[in-house]
Amino acid sequence: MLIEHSIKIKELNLSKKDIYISMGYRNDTPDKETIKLIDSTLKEISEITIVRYMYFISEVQILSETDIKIGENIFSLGRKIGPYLGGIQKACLYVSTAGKEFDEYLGNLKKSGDIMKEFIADSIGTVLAELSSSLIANELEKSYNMKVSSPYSPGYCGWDIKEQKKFFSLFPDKPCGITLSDSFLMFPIKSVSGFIGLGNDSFKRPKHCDLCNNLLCFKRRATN
Amino acid sequence: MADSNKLIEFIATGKLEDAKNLLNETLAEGVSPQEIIDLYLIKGMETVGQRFEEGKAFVPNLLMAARAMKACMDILKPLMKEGSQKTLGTLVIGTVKGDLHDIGKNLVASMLEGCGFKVINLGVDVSGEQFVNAVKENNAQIVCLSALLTTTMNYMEEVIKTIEKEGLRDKVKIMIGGAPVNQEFADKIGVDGYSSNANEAVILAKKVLNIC
Ligand code: B12
Repeated sequence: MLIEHSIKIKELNLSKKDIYISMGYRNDTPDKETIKLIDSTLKEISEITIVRYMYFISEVQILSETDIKIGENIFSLGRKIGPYLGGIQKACLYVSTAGKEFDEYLGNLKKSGDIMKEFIADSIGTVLAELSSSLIANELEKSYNMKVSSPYSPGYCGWDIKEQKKFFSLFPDKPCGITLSDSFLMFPIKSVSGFIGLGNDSFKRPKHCDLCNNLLCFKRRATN
Repeated sequence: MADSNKLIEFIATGKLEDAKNLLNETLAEGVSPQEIIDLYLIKGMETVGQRFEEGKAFVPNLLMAARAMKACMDILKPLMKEGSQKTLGTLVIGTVKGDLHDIGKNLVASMLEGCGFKVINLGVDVSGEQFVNAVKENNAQIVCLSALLTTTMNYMEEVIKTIEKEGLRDKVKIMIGGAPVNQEFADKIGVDGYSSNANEAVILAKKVLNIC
């Protein structure tokens, strides 16, 4: 069963801390003036943006340390993600987007030349796109009496981004208005795809940065 | 007398209105635009850059400073004689074909612009041909390539080949950056420089052009 949600930002419990981290503040807080600008930008975005996400649950078979079968499709997740999927029985596949209205808003900001506001809006858009995984995980925990895994996305941590094509073939055409480019990226830009595993026992969870070798990442120390 | 030294701190802390006001006062006292740039504005950018290196300033602080710098430059430019306006150089920047991640690239562009380069930002999903055309049209001295995907970073080599094919390789320096890219990759594909952040990118751009 395909589930689809459209949510206004006002209805979301958006964490300011997540926005600050997305902007690169690590564990610090911006100065008053910047906070004011973040608040007013968020207000503008709230007026035009609707976060959309879509998901469905499918049976899963573990084929090897690296490969799983979702429905009729085999996905090769790689050696990094594979070990965290022990005990997976079902998978919730999702796509999510901050929408084309957001892309347009950001495009206009770019033209205005206000680089600080553009950066803030860009960072808020990232938070909006990434929010769905936790919303969906909450819904899953409520609806199924099962444990949920961390979210994993095609392209992340050794999972070949080319598998986006197979991934999208499992959804209706243009889910939530998202299209896939020749290089397997999604439009609108602020979109994500991924899955969350479901099983009876708790999943092994990677500590936030365990799977990624980007030692210079601006998020690294903030979340560790 | 205006305490023009404060301009350095206003730029470094991104205090746009304060910076503009003090800039106007300094101008009214007869200090030339070029002196203001050299003595205060660039020093302000160097100060925030230093703080960033020391972990005392964050990415948004760099941007705030670049924004204040740009606002001041917008006031000064019309006052300077055509031709006397010094830019450190012209560069073309873009995220390579197939890639859409551009937050970091835009930061690099803003910092370079704030620090006195003329920047042509081609956006995302930029082909080798588009880079070459922009270099020709703008007589650019540097091409900056950004990629955030391991798949698209390989396209950087394509861009370099296109630049070579057009006979431009001796005329432009090439700089690369983005999360999956590192010095080793930069050496492998034979570019002139790599940096891991927007602040270093400015230092690097000056280095490849032998400024400073
Ligand atoms: C923000 C982000 C997003 C955002 C928004 C992107 C956007 N354009 O708006 C969202 C959430 C939408 C997103 C989605 C996806 N993303 Co993403 N994303 C990131 C993330 C977390 C940060 C990128 C960023 O903005 N960093 C902040 C800036 C300031 O840093 P930066 O880009 O590194 O730039 C600095 C330096 O690198 C350098 N620099 C950059 N360019 C240049 C150029 C030159 C010339 C120089 C000198 C220096 C330089 O200076 C910059 C400033 O200091 C990275 C992980 C990471 N830490 O890099 C993943 C990452 C890039 N994403 C990844 C992936 C796979 C995706 C998705 C495909 C996942 C999915 N299936 O949903 C999607 C694709 C989206 C789409 N539309 O198709 C992977 C790529 C893997 C790979 N190596 O191939 C990464 C690395 C995550 C990971 N851990 O694996 N993403």
